[in-house]
Amino acid sequence: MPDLFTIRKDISRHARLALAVLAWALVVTVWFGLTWWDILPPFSLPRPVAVVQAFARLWTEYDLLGNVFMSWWRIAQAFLWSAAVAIPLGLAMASFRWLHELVNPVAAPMRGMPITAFLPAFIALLGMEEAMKVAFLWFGMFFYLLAVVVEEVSRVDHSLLETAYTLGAKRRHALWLLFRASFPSVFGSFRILYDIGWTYVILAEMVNARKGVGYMVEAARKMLDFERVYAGIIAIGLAAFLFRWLLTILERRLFPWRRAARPASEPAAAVGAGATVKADAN
Amino acid sequence: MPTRIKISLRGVSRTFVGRQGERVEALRDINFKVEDVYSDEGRDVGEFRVLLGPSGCGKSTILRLIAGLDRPDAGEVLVNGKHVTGPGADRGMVFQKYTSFPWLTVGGNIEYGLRIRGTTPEKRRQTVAHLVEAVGLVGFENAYPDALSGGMQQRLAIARTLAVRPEVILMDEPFGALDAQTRGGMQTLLLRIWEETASTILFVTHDVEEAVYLADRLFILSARPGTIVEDVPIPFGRPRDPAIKQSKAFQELEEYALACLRRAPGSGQVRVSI
Repeated sequence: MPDLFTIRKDISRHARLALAVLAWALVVTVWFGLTWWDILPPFSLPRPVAVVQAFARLWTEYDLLGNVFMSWWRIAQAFLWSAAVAIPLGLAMASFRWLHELVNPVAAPMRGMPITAFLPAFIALLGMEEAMKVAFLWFGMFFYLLAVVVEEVSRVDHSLLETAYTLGAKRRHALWLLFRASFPSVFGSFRILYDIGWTYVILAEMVNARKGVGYMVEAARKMLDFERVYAGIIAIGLAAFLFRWLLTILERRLFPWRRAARPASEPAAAVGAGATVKADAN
Repeated sequence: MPTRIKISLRGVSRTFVGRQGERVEALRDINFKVEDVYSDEGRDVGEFRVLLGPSGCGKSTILRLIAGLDRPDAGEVLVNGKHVTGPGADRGMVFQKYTSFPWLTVGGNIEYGLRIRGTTPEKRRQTVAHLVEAVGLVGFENAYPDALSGGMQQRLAIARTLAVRPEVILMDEPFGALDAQTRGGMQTLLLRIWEETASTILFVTHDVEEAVYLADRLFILSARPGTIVEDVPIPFGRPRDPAIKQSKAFQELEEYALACLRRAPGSGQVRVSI
């Protein structure tokens, strides 16, 4: 079994799938065991079968899809607003030091603050309706995204900029170049941003919502229907996972150069004197 | 024959200050001119000037000053009689590092300089087609740089620089990261292209053989602080056959250049090919 502990050893697709199934099988088995012998205190963990039944009820009686869509729509709005502000601002901050020194002292501590504590303030400011929910989510996402954009733009290799300058690039071209060069990495962070959104949307929707996954779970909790609460939590996890997966697909579509294959050899005709064959195992 | 001064450096010095405040004097009192050379028929053929020196002698700094990517602390840098105030498309640069734009295809990289200056798509297509042919990247127009080997990346960098037709091409050890075989091929390719384009080339290297093979005229620099210690005209005609490297005259020039480097004060590494 020495292969198991070879550092950074690749594993096959089948093995990956098998491990994922195994992990979930373990979780479900432990869940069955815990509830079968009543090991945990009552009301802490419902039985799996009851949860699956509750899940079916969510689907048929409680408009699961509609609720998921509503939550997604709130996250999407907050996300778009975050991106619309954080990307240009982050780009400018990473390009102009003075702006960074002006904004960062305020923005950096924001990331460490318990944003949940701001919910009452948002309610006081924006009321109980949609604007409050979207603004709260925006607040949760924005400072994280801003930090990512600043980081990734700063990381763009300076020699790319210098190359562009020697080809005649002006400031606006250089800014566009920084955006193009950093965008794939920023896009990668969108997945985490969505996850943050799904975490906070629950909270935003516990206040005066008529739809959304948070409302769905909260309504079940008020009825002390814990099977439905758990089914709702699982539904949120599934929804977040689904959107994560869609983003991954979109990422591959958008940035084809990131998976460019290496050719086996140099074109032999190109260099009269001696073409080199590039050794490449893959 | 008429000559025109292309590049001129007068009393150029540059000192870098490190993070801990330590001062590194990269260049001290550099003076030289690069003039256009004319062929016997009176055609402007530019000049192939090579700066040869040990690593860390400030050769790259000279190129960066001419490119306008850095400013001298003292002295002046003139290109075509005008002070260099910043980078521009009239002075192209090829770096040792691979600096292709990863999100653009080979064709997109080549036409970058033309696109930002607003050249028509028709004209751009022609230029790309011509240059892809000239540097031997036919069939790779739509490939992304990530899929290219080191030698191909540098051919792309040369094509991209040529696309904007710079008057001066600055080359900062462009073949330094390539293996010996690819390097030899690239040198031949570069000479062939240069003979067609007639730009002035300022080429930096620490490889003695490369320097003698490519240059019309060779400047030898000493290590820190960099100063020019020797000015060696290379008598071989053009076009140059790579076989010339085996000739006695060539090897004698190599030995002479090496002797100059050894005599020079300071320490540093040069590459000697066997």
